[in-house]
Amino acid sequence: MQLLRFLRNHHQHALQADPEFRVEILKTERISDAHYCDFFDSKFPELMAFLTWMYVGACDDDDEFTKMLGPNGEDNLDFLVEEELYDFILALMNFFFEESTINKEKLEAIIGRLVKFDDIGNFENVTMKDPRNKKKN
Amino acid sequence: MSKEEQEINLPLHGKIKRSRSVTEKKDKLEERLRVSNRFVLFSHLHLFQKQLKENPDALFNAVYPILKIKAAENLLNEVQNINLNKEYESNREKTFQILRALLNDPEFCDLLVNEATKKINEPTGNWMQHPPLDVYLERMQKENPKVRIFSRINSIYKISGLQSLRWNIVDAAFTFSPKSSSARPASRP
Repeated sequence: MQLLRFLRNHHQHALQADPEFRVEILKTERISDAHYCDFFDSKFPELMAFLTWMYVGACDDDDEFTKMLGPNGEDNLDFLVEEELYDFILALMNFFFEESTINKEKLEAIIGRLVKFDDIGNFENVTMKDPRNKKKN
Repeated sequence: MSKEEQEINLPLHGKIKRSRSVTEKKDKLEERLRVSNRFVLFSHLHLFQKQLKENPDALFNAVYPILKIKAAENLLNEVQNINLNKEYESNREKTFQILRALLNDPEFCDLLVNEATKKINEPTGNWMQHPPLDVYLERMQKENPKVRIFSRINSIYKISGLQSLRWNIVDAAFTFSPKSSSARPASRP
């Protein structure tokens, strides 16, 4: 995943640096995923907040997160409806990213290539080929 | 017929019906994101009800960091477990298919990373090829041309040179971190 690559580029330094660097900067000899998330959050708080709320938005009423945050029900924007998916991502970007220049057209150009919706805007499938399946072939 | 009633009749996914307008839902989301919604957030944590009444801000500051880290971890785990080309029945799995496609797409991730790091005073446009610490080291080299260590670093040497460079890196890496003062040890060894 491209985003994971970004995350791993950071993590890689944390893993390869000498022990003193890890202890003094990361405050631990062996960094855990959770600790790394914390470290990443201190550097990119907006990106972390975006990912957090993206996850919360994708959870349904049976998820523990949703139970803690209050029931989603019909108040939640539905990712499987074209208009609502764009609205959700735009709302998050405008909220967390300072002076966001993203508009619906820009988002449609990117997401339109990846996700296929039918005539009335209901999700059909994703058009991207799974890299794991390519390897098997 | 009212707006709400019209939307109830929309055939979404064959099963799900909308009872609220999209604008109303969007407003609801924004409202939920706002700080004032901390009350809603923690009214469900029964263990903390007493503290919630006494000091909701302090409680939010204590619990939210844990929640967001768990959410980010869960997101990355779940999207990795989803197959993009499989036909799933449940709406939840379909939703994570969309998220996997988005987070797997270089163009979307470029947009996301560039927007998220716009106010940070570091070049992040080339993040796919260069880990950000490389960028810091290159900047150090420009700012300290007389320091030989910066002029002869290569990809391996950068790592082994971290020990001697770390004081510079700490300043750069934590420039935009609110924890910058506490991250730095009081004295050099």
